[in-house]
Amino acid sequence: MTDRNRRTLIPLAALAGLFVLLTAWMDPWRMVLSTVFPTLDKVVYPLAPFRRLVAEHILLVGSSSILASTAGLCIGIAVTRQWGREFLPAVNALASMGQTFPPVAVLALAVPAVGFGFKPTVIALFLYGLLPVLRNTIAGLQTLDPAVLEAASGMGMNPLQILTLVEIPLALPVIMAGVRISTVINIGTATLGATIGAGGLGKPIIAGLIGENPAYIIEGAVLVGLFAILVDGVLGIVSRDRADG
Amino acid sequence: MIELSCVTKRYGGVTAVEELTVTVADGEFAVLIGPSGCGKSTTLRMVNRLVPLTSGTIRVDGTDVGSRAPEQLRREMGYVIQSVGLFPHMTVAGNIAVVPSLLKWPRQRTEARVDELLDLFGLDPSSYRDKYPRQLSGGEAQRVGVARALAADPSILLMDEPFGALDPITRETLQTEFSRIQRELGKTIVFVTHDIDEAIRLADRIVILREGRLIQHDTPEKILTHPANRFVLEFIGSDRALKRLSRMKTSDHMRPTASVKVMDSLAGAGAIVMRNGFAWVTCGEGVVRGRLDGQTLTGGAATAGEAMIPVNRGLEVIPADASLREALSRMVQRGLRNAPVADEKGRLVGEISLEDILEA
Amino acid sequence: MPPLLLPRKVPLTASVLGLGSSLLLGFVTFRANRLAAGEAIRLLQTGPCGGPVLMAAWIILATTSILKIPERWVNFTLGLLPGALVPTALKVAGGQAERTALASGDIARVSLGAAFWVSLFAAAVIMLDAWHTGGLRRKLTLFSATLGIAVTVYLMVSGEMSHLSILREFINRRERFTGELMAHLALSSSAVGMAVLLGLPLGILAHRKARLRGGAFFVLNTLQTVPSLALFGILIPLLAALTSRFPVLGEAGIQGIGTAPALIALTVYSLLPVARNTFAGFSSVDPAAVDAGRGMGMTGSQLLVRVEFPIASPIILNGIRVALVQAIGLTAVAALIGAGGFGVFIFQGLGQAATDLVLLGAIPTNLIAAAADALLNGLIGVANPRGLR
Repeated sequence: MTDRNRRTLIPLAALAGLFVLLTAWMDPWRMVLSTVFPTLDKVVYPLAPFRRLVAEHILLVGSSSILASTAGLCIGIAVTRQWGREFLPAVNALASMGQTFPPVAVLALAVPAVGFGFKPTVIALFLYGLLPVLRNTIAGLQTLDPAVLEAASGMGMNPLQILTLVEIPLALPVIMAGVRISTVINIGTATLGATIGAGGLGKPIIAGLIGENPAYIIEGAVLVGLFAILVDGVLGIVSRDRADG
Repeated sequence: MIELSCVTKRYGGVTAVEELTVTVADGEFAVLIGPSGCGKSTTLRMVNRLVPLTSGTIRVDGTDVGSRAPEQLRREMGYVIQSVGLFPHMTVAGNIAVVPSLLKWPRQRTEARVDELLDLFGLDPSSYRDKYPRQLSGGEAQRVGVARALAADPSILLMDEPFGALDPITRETLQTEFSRIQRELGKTIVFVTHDIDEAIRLADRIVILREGRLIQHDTPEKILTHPANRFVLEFIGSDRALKRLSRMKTSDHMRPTASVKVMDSLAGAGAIVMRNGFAWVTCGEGVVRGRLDGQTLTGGAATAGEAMIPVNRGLEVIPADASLREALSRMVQRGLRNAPVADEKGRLVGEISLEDILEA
Repeated sequence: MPPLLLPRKVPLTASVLGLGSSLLLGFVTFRANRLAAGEAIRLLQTGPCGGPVLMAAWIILATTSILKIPERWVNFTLGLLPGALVPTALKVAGGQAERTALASGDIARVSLGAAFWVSLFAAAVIMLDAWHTGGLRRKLTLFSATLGIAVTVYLMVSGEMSHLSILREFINRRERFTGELMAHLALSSSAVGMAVLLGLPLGILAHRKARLRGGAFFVLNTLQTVPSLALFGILIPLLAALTSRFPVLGEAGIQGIGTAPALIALTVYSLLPVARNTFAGFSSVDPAAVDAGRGMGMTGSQLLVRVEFPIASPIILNGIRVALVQAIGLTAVAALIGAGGFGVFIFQGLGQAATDLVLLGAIPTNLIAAAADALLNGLIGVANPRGLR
């Protein structure tokens, strides 16, 4: 682990501690928010404990991001092989067009296709999360020094060995950067999943907006904000470690 | 005239230039040289105020540069750097026209000036004017870089290792070309380099710096014959005698010679050969063709042309404007004790021998 | 015997996809009323001749993609058919909607189904591939796509499609639609405008002052990480508290909900791409060019205007492009805090489980994002100095 990572680890650990504390323990919320909003009847979101909302959010983002990263990586590898290269231009064009799609539109369009709830949200998150991983995988694999690949095959590696021992390790920092972007975007879009009944940390925010209860809004917003920064930081460290190793 | 007096530059605790006093006369080609970190570039950049002085004064034509607005001052001096720094989004013409446009010259005058400069540097205006920097070779780019510096006809030119990034052949071509242009224009030049051969080739006077201090300031000849100390001696290298020869022109050291025509009868030519030991054979226009000596007379040929040993014109004839170093090199290579000297049209103008070079 | 097959993988995959979806999935969805459960109608179950024509088109495309036939014929088929296919599919769906309206009354709804969207996607893939192939096929694709778009627009405007559910939603909300379009454009473009005003100087400053760089980009990166709904949410009580503390703000029209928090949040999100690319653009200028410029007597502002900015401008414009596309998407979310825009239709539609209302919000949002993307890309092409290309 590099010095820089060690230095970012401490604030990140502190942030993680704060996140766990605020998820597990309601008292600080009650104390602070009832002082800030003395006129409100209820200051803590009553319909579900935060730990459940956090778990739902992690499940939404985790499942979709793992799927998206795997699929993005596979497609990216496929279209950069000799037999799949014909697909590369079309896939490239689709990926850059796809990124002009607003995440909320993708989410909303999943509803007519699949219905309300957890499933359409995961599908939408998967589809949208695919693009950054795909783009970065293609970019990472295509910008490798051809001399390195030539050297690898010159040493007698077969295509699979070149892929797993040379190409992927060298492209991994770029691919991981794509995974990071994709996951962070998914955390934000998953928040919107509350509008289609997927649960997660968006729920208190939407409830607060509808019920004009700013305390609920703050609870959801602070927790999901912390969660996003935390995940971004952790993935940042992971991808930097790869880059240095 | 550029006068540096007691110029000092410190960066934090580090002294880059210390108490430097140097004068560059009008029309003089001054070369600042020394190992890297000796303060030569810093000194150059203090002249146009890209680097502020810590103490001391720099005067240009009697005026303290510190009292001038830096931008005004810089527009009156050309500035050329090693990495050229052409503006990639402008054409060659646009680049050369930068200072004229800063000075708000009328368009026609600027255009005429651009073409004039391109011509001067051997770049055909009609094909180079609208090219972009990325379309130029390294040598062409630096020609444009120097042309750009000369655009507003400044009397002073500051050059920071301008030919340092070029390959040896291009560098030598540009050096030769630039000497020619300098002879035409007569600018006052301050030129930074770390290449002692370049300095000896180009300079009127050389300023040798070490760790920010002046070590020796003199003409190249003096520096080669009388190095101030061990440092200078080591810096100019063990082949300083050869370097000295590179400053000398063959035409200044050659001697008149005897020649006969190709069609002359061998009998007539023989008399001359007997008197001199040998004779050069030339054709009608005076171009060297061959050589006659005692042995060649005995073959029974009728004319000098039939009896002569042909001379390889590319390798064995020394151009009059070549340096003695080059002449020596050719003669050693071909195993000659003496060689004919010819002008640019190949006409015999004299001869040079190893003894002449040793005496030079 | 010479080989008969020469598979062209991309058009082949796409046309198999189009053919398969048309056979298996619903081409249009029939609902007895706006909110009733849908019933899928496959392509071959639609009206008299439209279905077979589309099927035939897919079969021709698939056959052309796999057989070894003269390249000229391949170019004509793959270049012209996909562009013609799209308006035809729309016409088939519209025709079905019209017949349904006649049969079941105006209360019944016909929406575009999965097979329609998959076919659209497959046609787009063939066109993108043809574009990349270049030559005659590219020219024909450009021609047929332009014509296809023109015919599609004509079909939409002429009222022939007016029985399709999405257009029924549009007709019911014609005035709202224009209003939300304006709100959407105004909000996203003013946020990006603000971000440019703030981000340009910030990026230049970050380029000049190394000490500022780390901190500024750390803050902007962190803010970019925060989910949009969270940032909108946090700004609401914050602004509400500010306006109750300083009533002047309230009189100036700043409220806890509505445009003010949306504008602030969107500006914050747009700031990172603009500032980051400004920084990157200025960093891409060769230091030797700057040194040469200063050495020739350019003032700081002359250097900025004549050298640094022109060289950096394509990269800066690219940052503005990213910011604008992002802002258009996020503006749709801002409808949740009462800022208007096409998000209003999306969330209303989600609330009422009215698919076509969701589409009425989502499709135009996509279209203006794509239009902004294309516009800025065009601008980058124009601004890119010839010497840098």
